[in-house]
Amino acid sequence: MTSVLSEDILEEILNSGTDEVLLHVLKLPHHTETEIEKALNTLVEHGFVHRGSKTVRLTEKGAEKAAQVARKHAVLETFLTDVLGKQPEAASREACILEHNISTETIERLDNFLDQRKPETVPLEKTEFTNHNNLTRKNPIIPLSECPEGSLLHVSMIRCFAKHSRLIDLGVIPGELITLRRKLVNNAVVITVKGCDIALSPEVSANIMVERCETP
Amino acid sequence: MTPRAALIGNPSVGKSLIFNHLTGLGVEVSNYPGTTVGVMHGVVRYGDAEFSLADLPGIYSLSGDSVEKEMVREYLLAEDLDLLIAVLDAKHLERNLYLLLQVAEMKKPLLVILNMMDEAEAAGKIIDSASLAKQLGVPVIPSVATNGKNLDDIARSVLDGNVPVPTLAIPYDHHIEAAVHSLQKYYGLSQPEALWALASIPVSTITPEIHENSLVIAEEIERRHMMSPEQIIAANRHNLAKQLAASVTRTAPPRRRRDFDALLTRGFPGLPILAIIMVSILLIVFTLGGVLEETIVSLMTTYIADPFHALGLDPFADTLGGAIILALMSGLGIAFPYVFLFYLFISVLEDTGYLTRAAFLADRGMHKLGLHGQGLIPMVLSFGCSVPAIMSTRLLPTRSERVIASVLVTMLPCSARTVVISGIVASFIGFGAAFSIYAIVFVLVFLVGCILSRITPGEQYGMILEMAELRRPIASHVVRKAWMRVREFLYIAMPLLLVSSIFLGLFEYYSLIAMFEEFIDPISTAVLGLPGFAFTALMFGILRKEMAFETLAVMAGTTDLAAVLSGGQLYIFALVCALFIPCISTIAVLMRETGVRYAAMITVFTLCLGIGLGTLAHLILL
Repeated sequence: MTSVLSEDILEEILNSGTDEVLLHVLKLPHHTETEIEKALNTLVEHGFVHRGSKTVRLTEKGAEKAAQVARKHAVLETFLTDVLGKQPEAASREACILEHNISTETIERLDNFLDQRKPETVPLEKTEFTNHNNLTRKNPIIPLSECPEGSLLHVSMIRCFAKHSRLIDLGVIPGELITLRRKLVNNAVVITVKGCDIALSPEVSANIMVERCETP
Repeated sequence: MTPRAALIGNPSVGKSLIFNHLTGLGVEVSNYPGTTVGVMHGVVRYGDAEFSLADLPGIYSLSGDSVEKEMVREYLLAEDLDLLIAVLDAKHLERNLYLLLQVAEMKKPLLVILNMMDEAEAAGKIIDSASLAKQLGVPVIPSVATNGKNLDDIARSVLDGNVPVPTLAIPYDHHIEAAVHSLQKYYGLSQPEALWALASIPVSTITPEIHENSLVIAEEIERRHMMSPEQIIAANRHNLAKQLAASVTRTAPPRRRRDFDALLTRGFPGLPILAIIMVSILLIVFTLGGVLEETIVSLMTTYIADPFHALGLDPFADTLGGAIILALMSGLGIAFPYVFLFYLFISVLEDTGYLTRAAFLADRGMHKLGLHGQGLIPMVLSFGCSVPAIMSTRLLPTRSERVIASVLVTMLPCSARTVVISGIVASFIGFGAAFSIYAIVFVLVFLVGCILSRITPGEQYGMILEMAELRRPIASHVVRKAWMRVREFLYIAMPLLLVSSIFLGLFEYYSLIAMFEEFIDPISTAVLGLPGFAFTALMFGILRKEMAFETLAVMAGTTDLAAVLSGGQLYIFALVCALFIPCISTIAVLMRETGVRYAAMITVFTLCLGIGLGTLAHLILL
C-alpha cells in the first residue's frame, strides 16, 4: 500500500506536467529529506516510480495511481466548494488531506451525486472530471500511441502541453472523447475529435495520455 | 466613410470563396489548411453602396502563438473594424464555435455565416440556424458558398448597418473570472486582452509589467486547479461550444459514403498509391512540360526573335530587344509548362483533400530531413521546377521548416538541370556518370537536411494537421488557382529576368563578355579546370539553367562538345551547373517567400557548394 506522503509525491510528479522531474523540484513542505527519500524508495520498490540519478519518472502503474489520486482531489474539492460552499483555497487544502483516506467507492458515489445536481451550479471545468463517467476509469492511462486502431479513448492528460497548443484549438483537451482512426507502424495516428479527422506525428501521439473506454 | 469588415474563421471553411464572390477579386481557394497567408483586402459593391472587406488567414483559435494567430489578433486590435463576419463550417459546428466564442468576446458587431450547409446535411446534421442566432444574439446566415447560395444576404446585412454585438458570454471558472476582472480594473484591458494575458499569450498591448503580474495570478490559479489557465479557459470555451452545438443540431441518419480513407491512409495500399501518384505527376509534367517549353521557345524564336533580328535595327537596339525577348522566353518557358501544369495537378490533389493524406503518410520520411509530412510537396515539385516548389513551401507550418525546405528545393535537380545533365553528361560521357551526379546531389541534400534540422533555430513541433474532407474538385476552381500561380510567378520573376537579361545583353554589346572571359580564364582554369568560355556559359545558366548548355554550344562554336572539352571538364561543368546559384526566377521566388536575407544566404551557399565541389572534382578528375 502507499502512504500519504508517497501519494503526494505521485501527485506532484503528475502535476509537474513533464516526464522527468528533478528530485529537488518536488514541492513537499512539511517533510524532511529522509522521509521523502524513504517514501521514494518504497515507490520504486512497488514499481510506481522509475528513478534516474537526479530525476524521477512515473511508470505506467504510477501514472495510473497518480491520476486516481488527482481525481479524488478534484471530486472532493468540487464537493467542498460547490455543495458545502467552502472557500476554494481552504477546500483545496482540505481535499489534499481527505484524498488519501477516502475509499474509491465513496468517491464514485460522490461523483455521481455531483453529476446529478443541476448542471448550471457546477462550474464548467469541473465537469471534465465527471463527464463520461460510465465509460472510463476501468483501464490504465497509457499514451495514445500505444492504443490499437479503432478504440474509443478518453483523454486524461497531455504532456508538454505548451508545445502542443494547437491540440487545444482542435479540442483535444483532458476529458474529451476521441476515436483512434488510424495508426501507422511508426505510431503516426489519425484521430477523430469533434467530428474532424486530425493527423498527428508520433512525437505528438506519444504525449497524449488516454484511457480506453468500453463502448456502451 | 465606408464601413470596414473582416472575414474570420477556421481554415478551409470557405472564407476565400466568399471573399471572391463578394469582391469579385481572385484569391486562392483550397481544401488545404493555411492557404491564405497574408491579409487580403477588397471592396464589396452592392447596389450603390460599398464596404471594404478583409480576408484573414484561417485559424482555429485566437489564443496561441503561431504566426497566423498573432497576425489576426494584432489585426483585430490595431484596425478598428466596424464589423466582423465569422464563417463557420456547419459540418464541424462544435469545433468552429470554439473560435466563434472567442470572436464574440471582441465585442464587435458580428455576422455569422453558417457555410457548407449541404455537406452538413449529407452528413446527417440538421442545424437550426434560428436557434443559434437567438442564443448568440446575432444574425446567422446559412449558406452554401460553392454555389453562391445566400451570399448576397451578407452584403445586404453589412450595409444595413444594424448588426448587433453578440450577447452570449462564456461562463469561465470563477477564479479566471476574478482574475480577468482585476486585470481589467487595474490596467484598463479589454476582456480578451485580460484572458490573453492570463494565458501568457504575447499581445502588443500587454506591457511586460502587466505580463509579469498576470503571470503571478496565473501561477496561483495553476496551483489550485492543477491545470494552467490556458487549459482551463480552453476547457470552458470547448464546453460551451459543445453545449451550444448540441442544442442546435438535430441528427438524421447520414447518407452512406464510401470510406476511401481505409485505402488512402494505411501503410498499404496508401504508400504505393502515394508513390504512384507522385511519380506519375512528375513524369507527366516532365515530359509534357518539356514538350510545351520547347514549343513555346521555338514558336517565340520563329515568330518573334527571328523576325525581330531580321528587321536589321542598329546593333544596340537589336541587342536590347533580343535581351527582352530572351527574358520573356525564359519566363514564359517556365510559367506555362511547369508552374501551370504542376499547379493543375497540385490543385486537384489539394481540392480533393488527398494532399493532407499524403502529408500524413510522408511524415516519417520527412522527419529525417528536419521536415514534417507537409514537406513532401515541395520536395516532389522541385524535380520539375524549383519555382513552384518554393512557392509551395508556404504550406509548411513553421518558418524554420520553410527555410530548410527552400534550401533543399534549391539544391534538388529541377527539369532544366536534368536537361543539362542528360544533354552533356549522359550523351557525351555515359549514363553512369550522369547518374553519379544525381547521387552526389542526393547525398548532399540528405546531409544538408540533417545538418540544417539540427542547427536551425526554432523548436521542432510534431505535425498536427486537420485532414481535409474528401470532395470532388471543381474544374473552374482548379484552373483558376493554377492560373493565379502563373500570374504571381510572372509578376515576381519577370522584372528580375528582364533586368538581368538586358544586363547580359549590354555586356555582350560592349564586348565586356570577351573581357570577362579573358579575365576569368586563368581563375576558372586554375580552380575548376574549365576554360573561360565555359565559365561564361555557366553565368548564362543563371537566366535559365538550360541556357548554360545552349550558350556553351554557341560559345564553343560547335554542338560536338566532346571536341572542345574533355570528359572530365564536361562532368565538372554539369556538376557545377547543377549545384551553383539557382536561376533568377528561383532567386526571385526565394526573396518573396523567405526574405532577402535568406535568399542571399541560400544563393551564396549554393555558389560555394557548386564551386567547392567543382574544385574537388577538378582535383580528382583532371
